[in-house]
Amino acid sequence: MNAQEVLGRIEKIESLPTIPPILKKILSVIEDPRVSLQKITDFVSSDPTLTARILKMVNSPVYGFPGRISSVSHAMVILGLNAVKGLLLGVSVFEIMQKSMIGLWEHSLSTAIFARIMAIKKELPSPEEISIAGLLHDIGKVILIMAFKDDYLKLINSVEEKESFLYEIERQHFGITHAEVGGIIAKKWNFPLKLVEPIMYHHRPQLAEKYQKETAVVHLSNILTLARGVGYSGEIFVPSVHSSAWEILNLKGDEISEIFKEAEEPITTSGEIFFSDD
Amino acid sequence: MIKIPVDKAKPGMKILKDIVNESGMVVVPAGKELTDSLIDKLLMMNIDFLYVEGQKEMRPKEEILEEIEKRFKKITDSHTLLIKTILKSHIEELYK
Repeated sequence: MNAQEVLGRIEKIESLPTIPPILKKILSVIEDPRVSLQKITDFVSSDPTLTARILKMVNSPVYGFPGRISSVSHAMVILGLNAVKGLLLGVSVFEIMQKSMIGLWEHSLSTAIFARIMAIKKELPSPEEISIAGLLHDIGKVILIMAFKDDYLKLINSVEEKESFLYEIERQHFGITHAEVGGIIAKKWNFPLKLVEPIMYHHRPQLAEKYQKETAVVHLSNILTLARGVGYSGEIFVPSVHSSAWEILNLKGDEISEIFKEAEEPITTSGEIFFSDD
Repeated sequence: MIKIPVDKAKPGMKILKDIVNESGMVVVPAGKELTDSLIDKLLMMNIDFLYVEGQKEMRPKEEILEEIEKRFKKITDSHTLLIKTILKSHIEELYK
């Protein structure tokens, strides 16, 4: 298979038979670049499950507002349109992640948590949005699962035997990796570059142009999650931190130690909280 | 002592840390036992977590450290190796 064929297939993602109706609706809403805060709020509020998930997420230890956000419009004000669009997508792929790739949700949540803590430490603007980029960084895997289920699951299974990185196996097989697939799709959904670049380049942070710091944060957060062993992303080995990301973030040893400490409780409890009633 | 979300709380559990609301006021003092009505009350007050008696299930430290070694098998660069060292001492701390 080559990259063109893969992209041709995922470009038509909305028509894939595996995509749930709710996700289809969400995509049609978030794709519209002129969509207003009010329209998104109305859309989410009309669906109680979606509302509950969004509120649960923003009030969970993943974000820093425990029990303080009581409505979707309140979440909008605090997080902003882009973060809510991403969150909406994040919580709606929850089921697909759960059904098709056990552990990917926990991996994604943990990456979001590390990203938020790191972004705050590095005093980057809008840590919530960077956290959303962390939550969505592996969205390309969800897309590959929806578009090429059997093939992709086979690739995941071959990681152990080949003792290789999943993204390397993806490139050999598809001519493209989940990171690039995710980035291309995020662009198609009209996500801002601030989300697109970290998703697209989370394995090659040196290629980010405009949002190098944000991309470096997601790159490193993914690695810390893999290192700590939270969830399952298909990778069994920790990849190297790219030297450019290391230089950009300039984290000292004790800062990394603090990040592990601060993240410990949220990464071990947030999964349970999310699962408690759905 | 373990920290649990309120929706996992059960009557009979003993509260080990004061439960405080958003403004920092003690709503339920440490030492009290949970009842159904108290749990309802906590849910209504938007309390998220509480500390109760019990032990967090922790896997043997050696097992976790061994897994970390395996996961870092491909790493040779100094930066990522530093992360590994920091992570290992973080794990050691958790078991102290």
